[in-house]
Amino acid sequence: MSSNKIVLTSSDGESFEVEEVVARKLQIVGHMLEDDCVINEIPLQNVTGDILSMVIEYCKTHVDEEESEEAQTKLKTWDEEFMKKFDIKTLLQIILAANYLNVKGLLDLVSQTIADTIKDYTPEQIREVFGVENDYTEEEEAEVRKENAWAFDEADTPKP
Amino acid sequence: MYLPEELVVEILSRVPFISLARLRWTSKRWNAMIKNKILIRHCLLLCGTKDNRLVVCNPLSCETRWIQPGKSYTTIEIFALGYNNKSSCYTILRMYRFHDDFQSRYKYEVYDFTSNSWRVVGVTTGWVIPQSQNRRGMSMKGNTYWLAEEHGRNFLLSFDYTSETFQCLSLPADAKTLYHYLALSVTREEQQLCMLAIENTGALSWTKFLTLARSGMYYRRYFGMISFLIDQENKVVYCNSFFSNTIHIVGEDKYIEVNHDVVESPYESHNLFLLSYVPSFLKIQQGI
Repeated sequence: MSSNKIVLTSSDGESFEVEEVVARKLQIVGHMLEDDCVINEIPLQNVTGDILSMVIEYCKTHVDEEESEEAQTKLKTWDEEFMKKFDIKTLLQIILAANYLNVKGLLDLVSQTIADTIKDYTPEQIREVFGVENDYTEEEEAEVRKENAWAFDEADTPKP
Repeated sequence: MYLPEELVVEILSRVPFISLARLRWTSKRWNAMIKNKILIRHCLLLCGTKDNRLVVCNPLSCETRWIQPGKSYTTIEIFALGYNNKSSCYTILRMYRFHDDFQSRYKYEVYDFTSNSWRVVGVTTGWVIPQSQNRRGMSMKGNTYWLAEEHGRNFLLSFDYTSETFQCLSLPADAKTLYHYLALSVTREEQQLCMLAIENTGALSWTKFLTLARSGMYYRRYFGMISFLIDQENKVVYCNSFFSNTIHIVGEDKYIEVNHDVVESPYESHNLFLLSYVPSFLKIQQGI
């Protein structure tokens, strides 16, 4: 199949030439193409080149999603391996990009991966990774802890 | 790194409950988000009392709310608790049998927690929920599921509390090789529905989980109601209400005696039933 090439440009000026079918997996691009079908260069302001290259890698792999069980299993294995490459900070950048570029499959995949990663985090680790400030007073914190005491293992409890 | 709230909710809705309880301690915003958007659906129980009244309770906080019974309250009615996403409210579904042109059907109505009243929604088509099945249904992600039957065909019945409609879903494709459907359960962590059945070979299988060879487990279909739970390590806990004082941990050949003299009920002898439950201090919405 001959396909149009589209150039996607990241916020830091890196350009990627991809086939139109791949670019259309980014729904933000799909919508632009529908509005005006003669564009062949698209600037993407909210995503850097290194993250965009990963999104493109995902879209290339998922470009023709076959129904067969075998193909599905293969894709699933690829997804798992793909996600293993990234640390939590990169995963957060990918989720932001997947949301902005509107790639539903990647958004699901990366949400699940982040959920699996943070489920064993302590609240302190969460605060650090997500840049959340602890706005509890000591009394409030004690109250929330008391309510959820059943979810804390002995080992999690900070020593006095 | 800052993520917009919609993305944080997207992630947290995939985190196991036990971890969520710990993550509520991250900050006030996270606590509110987890409490209001994620935990809200999973921690209340709907109970019937000996004297035929209904109560919604949160066993952890001991908060209760009594429900005004409908007009013709009888013991053969079916009740279930669910969550309406549109109005962000709990709802109770009530179904009662009536006979009409040689056909047995259910009339169904829902309870509005704000106005304390029942509203008739409709009449079902010809399916039934057999007596051998757990008529309480299984609650998953705010909706309720039952194993139902129509003209001898089994299917998965669900009630969607947001659209207030029933849906008939087919059972898994490999269900053709299954001889008898026993019970539904739901995993606590991922809220996945799973089904217990006997295969033609006599093996018991848990759809999407594991298959066990015919074991010492007693599964005669004509006896009591069966309930089961699956834990994080895919261990199965099994209970048949006919053998009312033991539960069985499958694979470990462990039997646990349960002393439940305290829960004497005038009906249905002593029915032991396993229930998945996630403790939380969720407040029950009170009427005006």
